[in-house]
Amino acid sequence: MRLSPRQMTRGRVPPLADFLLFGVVASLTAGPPLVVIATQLRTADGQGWSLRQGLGAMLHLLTSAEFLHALLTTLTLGCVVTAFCLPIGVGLALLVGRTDIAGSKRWDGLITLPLSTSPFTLLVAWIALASPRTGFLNMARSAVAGGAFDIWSLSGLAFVLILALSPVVYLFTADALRGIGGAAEEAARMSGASPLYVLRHITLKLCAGMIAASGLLVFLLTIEFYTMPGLIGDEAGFTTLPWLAVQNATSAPPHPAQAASCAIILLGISALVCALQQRALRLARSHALPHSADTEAQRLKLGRLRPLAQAGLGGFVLLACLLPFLALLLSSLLRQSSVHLSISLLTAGHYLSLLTTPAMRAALLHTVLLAVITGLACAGLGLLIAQIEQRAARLTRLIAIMALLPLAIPGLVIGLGLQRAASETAWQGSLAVLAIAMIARFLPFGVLAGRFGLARLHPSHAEAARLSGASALTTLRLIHAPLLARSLTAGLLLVMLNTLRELAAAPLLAGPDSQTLAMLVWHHMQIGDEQFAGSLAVVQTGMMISIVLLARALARIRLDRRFGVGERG
Amino acid sequence: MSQIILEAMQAQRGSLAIGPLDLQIESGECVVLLGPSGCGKTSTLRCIAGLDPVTAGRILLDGKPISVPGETLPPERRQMGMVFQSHTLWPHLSVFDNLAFGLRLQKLPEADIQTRVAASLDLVGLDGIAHSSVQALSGGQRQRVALARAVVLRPRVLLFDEPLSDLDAPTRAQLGSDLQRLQRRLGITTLHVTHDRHEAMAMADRIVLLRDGQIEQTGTPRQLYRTPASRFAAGFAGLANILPATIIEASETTTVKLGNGVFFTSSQGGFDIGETVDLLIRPEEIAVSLAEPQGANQYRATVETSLFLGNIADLVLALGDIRLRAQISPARDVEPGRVVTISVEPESIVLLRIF
Repeated sequence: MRLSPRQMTRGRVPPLADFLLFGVVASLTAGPPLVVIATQLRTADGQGWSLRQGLGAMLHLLTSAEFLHALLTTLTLGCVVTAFCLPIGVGLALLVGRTDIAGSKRWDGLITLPLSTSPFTLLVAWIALASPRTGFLNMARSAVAGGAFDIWSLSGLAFVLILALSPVVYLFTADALRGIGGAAEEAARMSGASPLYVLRHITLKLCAGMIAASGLLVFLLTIEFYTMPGLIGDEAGFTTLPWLAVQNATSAPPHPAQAASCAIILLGISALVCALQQRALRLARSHALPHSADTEAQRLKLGRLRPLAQAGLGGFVLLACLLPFLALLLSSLLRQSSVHLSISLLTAGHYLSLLTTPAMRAALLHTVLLAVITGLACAGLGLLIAQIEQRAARLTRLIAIMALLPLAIPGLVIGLGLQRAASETAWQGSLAVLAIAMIARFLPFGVLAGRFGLARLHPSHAEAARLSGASALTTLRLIHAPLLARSLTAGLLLVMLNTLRELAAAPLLAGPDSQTLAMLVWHHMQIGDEQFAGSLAVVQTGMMISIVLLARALARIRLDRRFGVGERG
Repeated sequence: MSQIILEAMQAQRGSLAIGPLDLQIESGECVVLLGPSGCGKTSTLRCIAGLDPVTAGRILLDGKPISVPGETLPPERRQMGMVFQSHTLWPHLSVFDNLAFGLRLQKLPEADIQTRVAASLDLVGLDGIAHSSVQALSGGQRQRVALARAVVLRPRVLLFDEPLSDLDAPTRAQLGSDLQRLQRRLGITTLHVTHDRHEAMAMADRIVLLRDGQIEQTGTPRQLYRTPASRFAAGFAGLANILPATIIEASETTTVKLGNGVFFTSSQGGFDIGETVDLLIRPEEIAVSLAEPQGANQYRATVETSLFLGNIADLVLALGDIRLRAQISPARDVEPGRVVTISVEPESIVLLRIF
């Protein structure tokens, strides 16, 4: 029997489809940062290219007092938030994972709750709680003792970021603790070590890689946020690097080269931190232990310290979840801010106008549409990339690397790149360009979900299908997809969750006809309409929590335990 | 060297209630807890190690209670060494530091630590790797290091929790024999947990067979194999033909009748006529020949299947409507369908009372 050329494997030549996919993925993920770099290299008149001029302009900016102040503020904020998040997150994880505290599963769910909402929403809530005169906490406090905690300050911003990002450290540490299991610790006990000695010298050292990785992620997320520092910094008189970039990009007239310079520096820091994070994760992987399913780690008996431990956990949940949500709810039901609360201030008007105003209804529709389109695109594309990656060819590996690139690219850079690319075209300010930005940002979640699912499939599943006559695509459709349904659902919902709260690329790209809920919260906070912003944030939080609960109820998926944590930008 | 006593010890592991167990492990003895998964052997070991509490009864080490309900001497104060199923070496420490961990806790001088670590590694045949990373070692080497870590502290008791089960067959055989040699050489009281009967028989001075949290039988490997106390013990100790039978003649020897009317005579006595028993014949005790049957315990049987297994041939024989499994060594070609004569010595027939 002779095989026709079509029937034979095409040897080392990659299929055309792979080249096509490479083109699409590279344009999506590497395109925006390249546009940003190109912007930097444009001549002042915008007619040509000049490396010398570009570097000169960049150097000029880098040595300016404004830039250095912004850089210093950004790095200080990153370091302070990381320094606080690490002990808080690790402490919470040890309390929940390694002590005999009652209701550890319930605490776990509550501590990770902030990961399922938007950090910007947490700031909105804390503005309602701790504004100097009208904040609910400050009102209660001044009635008792006087004095006020000012959320409109760098320390106020750091406080909110610590509450929002400590669960990231918690999550990484808790995962590491689960990975260690009990046997390594028991072996140390059998060698004569006391429980506390084991905790210090075995448990925490085995978790060191994951803890370091989580700290670096917290640092990265902190320095990339710009909506929160922008809002607080404008009042408190400080600027961070990403906010400086946004100001330059959105000023009239815009200063794209300056914005690009800031973004490139941010990209450089981000790449450096990601490289360090990879090293930390490699260390964590090298410390992985064979897991014995029936050996659970022994829990330290808290004894008389139990009330203190419960107060610690309760305090965190109170500050990061309970108080903010109640404040947000109350604030959204008030007509306006007031130094005295009374029944007459209560109104449901904000919610009514949210439902009745056409612009608001359109924003709701845009939000849902964007979340669904991004979710489906990322899950589908991610699975396809994860599948072809298994062929272990150079091009397919490159496609996978390109698809994961956005993990190291701040959302701001993607936003700036697409803003420049779409400027003065029909795409400017459209929902389509927003969708492209979201897909570019969250494609890694789709790829990771695909990898996660495929890793659980035995290669023989696909081999048996291929031997039965199925093509690669048919195998993907009929064998892998049904078996992967749970992972794909997780990927889809995770991307939807992140799209709902995205505030990194969206503020740079959205136009009057493509507003989303998150954008409106940001916009109304900027113009000082905190109560209406609060009602929008409540609806947004409701949608996000619904997705998390839906995932848990329908597919027993813990979205907060999956790859995505926090919001960038 | 130390003695361990379990006095009516009870423990709870998930839904499994263990005990009450009574067991005495003598100084220098190697006892193997054998049983199927979920029978409570690891839980018993963990109670002895002090990793899990007892719910009733007590555990004594050299006459002193170390575990009673509500009070457990912590594992770090029991002076016991333990090798776990998975190697549990600490990956952030070198081989040397893994071994020196407990010695440093004892605040020994560094020179003594060096000497003892080197001696322990030498003992397990791994000298020269002290400063290697544990991640560079093979599975067998890791388990040897884990063993060295357990013995470097000169424990009073050594506990082995299925230390060979994660290893490949050749490494398992080699390390199993090394464990036995080491235990004999050091003379440390040892409790070994396994579900592998070959491993148990190779290692043990005495085997304690567990079933559903209770001791089914205690005895030397030979006793367990030759004179099992129950159908379960007989089946767990090795391949067995177990057939229901009725006593028809009882004197110094006993004659039983199988369901198909075939008679067998056993040298075992002490039964009553009419009593129902299980008749046990090990496959290797059935002799197969082409000669004519002559006398008791000899019958014509037809070969149904014949498997060549290298050193033995594994046969399934039809004796009327009863199927018997026989293993003949050296392996001969006995083709299926062939009629042969089987014979069993009366001493090789064990009768098990049915309770």
